Amino acid sequence: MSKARKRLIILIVLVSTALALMSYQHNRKPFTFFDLVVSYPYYALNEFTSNIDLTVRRLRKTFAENITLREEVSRLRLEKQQYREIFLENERLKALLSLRELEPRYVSAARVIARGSDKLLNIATLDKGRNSGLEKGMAVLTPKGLVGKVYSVQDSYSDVLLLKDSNFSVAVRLQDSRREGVISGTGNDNCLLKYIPPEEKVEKGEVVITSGFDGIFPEGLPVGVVSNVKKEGIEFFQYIEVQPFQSSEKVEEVIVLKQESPRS
Amino acid sequence: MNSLKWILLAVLVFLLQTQCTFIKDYLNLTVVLVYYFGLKNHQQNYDKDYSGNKAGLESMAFGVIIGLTEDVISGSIIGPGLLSKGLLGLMTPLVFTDMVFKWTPLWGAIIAVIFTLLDGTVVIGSRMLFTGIHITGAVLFRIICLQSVMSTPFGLLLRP
Repeated sequence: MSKARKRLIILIVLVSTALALMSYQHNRKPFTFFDLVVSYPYYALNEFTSNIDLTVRRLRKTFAENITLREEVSRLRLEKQQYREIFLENERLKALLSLRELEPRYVSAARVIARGSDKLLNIATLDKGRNSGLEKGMAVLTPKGLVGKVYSVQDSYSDVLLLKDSNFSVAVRLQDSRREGVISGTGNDNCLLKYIPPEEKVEKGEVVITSGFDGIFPEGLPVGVVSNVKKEGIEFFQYIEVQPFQSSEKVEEVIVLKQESPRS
Repeated sequence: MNSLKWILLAVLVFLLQTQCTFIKDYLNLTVVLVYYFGLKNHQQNYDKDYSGNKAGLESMAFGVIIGLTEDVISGSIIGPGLLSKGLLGLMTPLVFTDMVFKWTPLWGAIIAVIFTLLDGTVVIGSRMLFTGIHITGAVLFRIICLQSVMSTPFGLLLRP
């Protein structure tokens, strides 16, 4: 038998077998015999790979979700920080507003926009100047206490000489003993309370307020608290250190007051 | 060893064909597998100087097994895959008879495309005929053409 004839026979057998199989199954249920041999292992394998696929998908989803959530957390943290900042600013401004309402010599509220870099001169720059009614010598304070006085004024900004500067002085009185003195800056965080005689009993923790006798600062403004008292080795007056209530490094918003009108 | 290699390859192909969505829709790897088996088998028999029918018979048997497995897995009637893959197995050694058509990448690609078209036509045609399912011509044409085009690289790369 020739090769071509053999091939033809094989082809006919193949086609007729396939057609016979398909014709038999036409309108009948397909063969179930193969299910045992092929389908069950296949379905088991299929389930296995599907589980792997599902796990991989879940992992990918989790990773993607993780990235999104991390971004969300970062954004929310930033937002929270901003809200906290706004809240704190609001608190400060509220206190400033209440001070403004209580103080008839109010001129303007201002924001500290810069701090002086000069070691010899402790100043801060305010965002208000002559255009807002500020003048040289005006008192600058926060609800916590005294900050300093206006040192130089330009049209739209002004410099404040801070309480801690060695050129700064203010007439004060001890709140409990009512003893009057003068506070001067030292260039450091603490100030010195001068002209308190040795016989005067001054204790740590006593509050110092403005006396109003200098004609610049109104009476009764809180200045600081006595932090150190020395009586040994002194000549005419006690050595008293005062810790200001308002740290010069933490001032953000201030109000400016007009100078005290001369007492009659 | 050789049989084991083909069994493993077949398992891999079925795994990819049934599990990967992309391959399922755009590739007909079982056709490529039968074609590759036919190509290799023909070359081996040719090298050993066997008569031509042995290669055809073995390739057809391989195609029938692959087709049958495909039919069983598909859950439809047994026969379309068996017929198409058997035919492809039988035809593969014929299209590379060195007297007329020697294998070249271009000829391999053409054959891969033709085989994919033939397989698609036989399988879908048989199913439409014997199960009564209806597939619109445009969809059918798109699927078969897409699979044929995607078979081209295999035709170019798979060497005897």
